[in-house]
Amino acid sequence: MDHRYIDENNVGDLYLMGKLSAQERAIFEMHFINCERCVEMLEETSSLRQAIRGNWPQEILQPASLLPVRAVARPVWRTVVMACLLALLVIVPAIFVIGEMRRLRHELEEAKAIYAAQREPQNADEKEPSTDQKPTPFSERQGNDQREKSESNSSNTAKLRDSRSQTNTPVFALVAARRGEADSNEIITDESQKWLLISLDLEGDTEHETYRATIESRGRRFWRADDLRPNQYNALTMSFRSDSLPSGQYLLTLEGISKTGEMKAIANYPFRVTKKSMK
Amino acid sequence: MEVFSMIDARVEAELVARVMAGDERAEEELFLKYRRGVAIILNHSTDNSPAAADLCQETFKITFQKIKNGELREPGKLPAFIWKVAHNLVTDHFRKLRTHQISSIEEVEDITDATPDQLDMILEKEKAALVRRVLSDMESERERQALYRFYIAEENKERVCADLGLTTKQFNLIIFRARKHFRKLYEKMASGR
Repeated sequence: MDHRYIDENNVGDLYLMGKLSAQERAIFEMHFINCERCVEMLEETSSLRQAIRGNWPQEILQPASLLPVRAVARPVWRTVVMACLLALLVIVPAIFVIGEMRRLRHELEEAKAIYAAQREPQNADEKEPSTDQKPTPFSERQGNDQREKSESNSSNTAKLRDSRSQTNTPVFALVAARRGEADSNEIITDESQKWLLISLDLEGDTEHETYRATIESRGRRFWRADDLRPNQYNALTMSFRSDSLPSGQYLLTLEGISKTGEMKAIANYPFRVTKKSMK
Repeated sequence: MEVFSMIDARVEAELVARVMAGDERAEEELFLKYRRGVAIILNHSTDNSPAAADLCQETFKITFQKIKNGELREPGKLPAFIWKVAHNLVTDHFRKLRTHQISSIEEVEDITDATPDQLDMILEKEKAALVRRVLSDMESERERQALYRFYIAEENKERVCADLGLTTKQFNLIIFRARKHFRKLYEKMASGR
């Protein structure tokens, strides 16, 4: 029995605790009986044990033997790992479910708003003839479309809701310009009118099933819609956001599209937009 | 290790030879060399009985007699020889305790009162208070827990290691440090008392 073995296996401590076998005990006693190092270690351990036994302050550490075994036995790291695993099991699916719910709710809101917006022109159609397809106002001009796309979905939804709440939407029936005639169409809007409707008389043209409408201003095209179908009154009705038509002079050109895809000019509808202040 | 054992054996043989020759200094040397080890064995064997001190004296008395009588045939085995004498005395001691019956009033007077006197009690109380302070002031909770579980609760080292997530080496280091810190604090507080 050497000192390395004695130290590594706490032989001295086990001896004083009476935990060595009879043989181990005899071997160790015969070793330390004249070993100053081991004798000192044993004396110190013995006095330490005697000192702390019976003097252990209850307030600083609940004796392990008085605690429920598992409460003491479970190491801290194991508890932490278990807690983390539990948290992962609960939080990760919860985050996923919440995210999915939000996404679905958002999609539902959008769908509702789009549905409401689509319903509005139809409602208007009951009062005034309208095109079968809702045109995209001025999507080709000044990158409006891109800007609208970059706007948050919530603001789109808000705009659409605004549109839904509007009543008495003004309808402007444009008259086709005849050669030599001055501009006779004027659209006057105010800030309270967020939407307006433009109605075009097809001037008796019945040979085309679909039409193309183009709006230009100062020689630049900024809106076009194809595949427009007339209503039962042989007219086309288009809705626009008022703020997408700034004050100025415009020319709306209407072309008929034959079944073979040939285009034929039907009429021109020059008009002026004037913004009226509420003050 | 073997070289040291051979040297030890030679030293022991010389000591034995001197004791046999009647050298009182050799007896004293032998006593001083083995006294503490024998005391630990006897205290441990008798569970710290007051009789351990008497048994210790008796161990050396018998050892010297036997050496002088030439009963130690291999002087190099002196440690084992003393160990055997001590254990035989412990065995006799317990045998006597089992069979002993007080037969006269003289024997009653010989029985010493094991109850500590008042001064001893005060000193013990002071020491206990000091120990409590030392344990409270120990900074490491882990060291305190290791001390408690290993030395007081006497839990298995393997179990404590498993519970605290330690290797046996780490555990030994913690115990070593705990003892060192305890001793240091104890000495500091005792000197400042």
